[in-house]
Amino acid sequence: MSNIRWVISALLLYHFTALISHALPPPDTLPTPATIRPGRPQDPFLVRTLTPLLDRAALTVAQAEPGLFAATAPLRAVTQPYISAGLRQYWAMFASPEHRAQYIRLDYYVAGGAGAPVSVMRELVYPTGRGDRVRIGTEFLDKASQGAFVSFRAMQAAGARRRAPTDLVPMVRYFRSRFEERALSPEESVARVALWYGAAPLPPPGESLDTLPRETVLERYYGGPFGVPSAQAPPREGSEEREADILWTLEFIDTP
Amino acid sequence: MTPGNAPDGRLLDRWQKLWFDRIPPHIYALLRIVLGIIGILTLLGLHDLSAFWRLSGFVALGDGGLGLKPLLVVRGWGDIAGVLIYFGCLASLVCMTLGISSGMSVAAALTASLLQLAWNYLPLSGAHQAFQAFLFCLIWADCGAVWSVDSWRERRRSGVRTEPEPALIAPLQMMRAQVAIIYLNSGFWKLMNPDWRNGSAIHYALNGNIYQRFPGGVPFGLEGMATMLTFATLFWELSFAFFVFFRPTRRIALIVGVVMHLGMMTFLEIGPFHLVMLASYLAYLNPDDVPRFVQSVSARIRARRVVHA
Repeated sequence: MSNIRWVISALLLYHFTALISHALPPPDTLPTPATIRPGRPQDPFLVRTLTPLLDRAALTVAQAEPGLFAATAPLRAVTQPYISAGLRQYWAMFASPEHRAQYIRLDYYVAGGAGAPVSVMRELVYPTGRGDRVRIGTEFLDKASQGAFVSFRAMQAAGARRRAPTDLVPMVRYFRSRFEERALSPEESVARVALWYGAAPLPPPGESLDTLPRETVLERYYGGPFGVPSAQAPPREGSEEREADILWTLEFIDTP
Repeated sequence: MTPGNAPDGRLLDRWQKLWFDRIPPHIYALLRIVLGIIGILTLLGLHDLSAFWRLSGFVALGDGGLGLKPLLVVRGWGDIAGVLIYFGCLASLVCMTLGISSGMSVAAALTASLLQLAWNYLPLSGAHQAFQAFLFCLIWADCGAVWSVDSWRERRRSGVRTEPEPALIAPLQMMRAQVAIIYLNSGFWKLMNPDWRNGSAIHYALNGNIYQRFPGGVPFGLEGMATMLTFATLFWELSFAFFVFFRPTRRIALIVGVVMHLGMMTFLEIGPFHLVMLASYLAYLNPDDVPRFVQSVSARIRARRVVHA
């Protein structure tokens, strides 16, 4: 083999070593199965048969992974600069499906000119489309909102609650500007925006759920921003509200 | 004993065949064109400059530590820079697709996609990451030897139609391995989640309001199908890497993959990920078959034209 081929071979090995060693997740980020569930008679045949086997496989992986992760630490150290140049890969898409329907709404506190009272307008910003219609194509605005909220949740999980949620800020400001452009007169401006995250249950497999009350609530949101009575004192972060089976939690307040 | 006969010699031969064989370059041209088109379509989906590109829009505040954004904001160039990045990305992808300075334009497209990620990662998903990984494989290949403005110019300049130089197989093998790594890694993540192990994951994915294309979720009578699909997806992702490296099982892995991706694309809205992955399957075509197939199609078209004339 020629010298150049030896060099290329070494580079290829380096490349795959980097990809594979960095694909191993840190053990504390890996959800570990607590037990191996025995098959229950009421479960469908496939579930009864495969779930205990898969639980066992997952447990084995979870037990082996910390050792493998530790053993490959030197490889990660050697390949870190290469990976940091933009080759980091994370392929956990759809690994943890949500068990709830998700919504994000914004409450805009609109200040009128010359001492006019503050009014509150409400807008559903995520998902952007109606939930009762077929979706064609890709809605990148939803992707961005989802990315921002996932990153916010990761920040919360990392205990960085006191820092400004860096990805929610542009989200809130973008929708605020859009709202100001579309719905406000030149004398009016938004003095405060409250971001509410809504979660509603999804039926487990084999069960059904009456979603009519939720759909009735959402129908109002689908018409675009609408006014709501303003409370005496604006709610604080962490406040909760319920509309049908949607539980809204105030996650973030932005004051321009 | 000659080096080729010794066990380590055989291993070396296999290694050389695996990475240093020569193949017709058409498969690289095909991948360049298909990935380029997907890249352009994705960028067109992100055409709202005020939302995704101008710093006053829905653009992440961080820039991966590059320090570029604060500098641009201070100078008041934030919005212009975003617009320039968008058109730069688009131009590099158009050049890549058409094969204009192919080597340079593929590298430029990769650089642009990295810049795009640093500029605003918020609307991007796994599709962008996969796209980048495949472009990274393509930058090592001669993507412009055929079906490109480069090759057309070269033909015009020299006045003769010559057979293109065979290309190294290594970038193609890198791409094949990359696809396998994606599925294996994704399969392991899924294995660690209880919903994938108890057969309910597809049920929740189809019933959730974020990804579903059709309102209403899984009909009651099709719950069994959703359970079966959950297990099928898990097993297919975990086994893809092994199935695809053996010729007899490769076709099965790829056919199942195409069906899976088309099915998911129909029922779930997760951006261009499925298109990028389906495009990457082209890397598993036999490189010798690609020019043969195109030649036979063009011969048929020519013959039909003659008959009609």
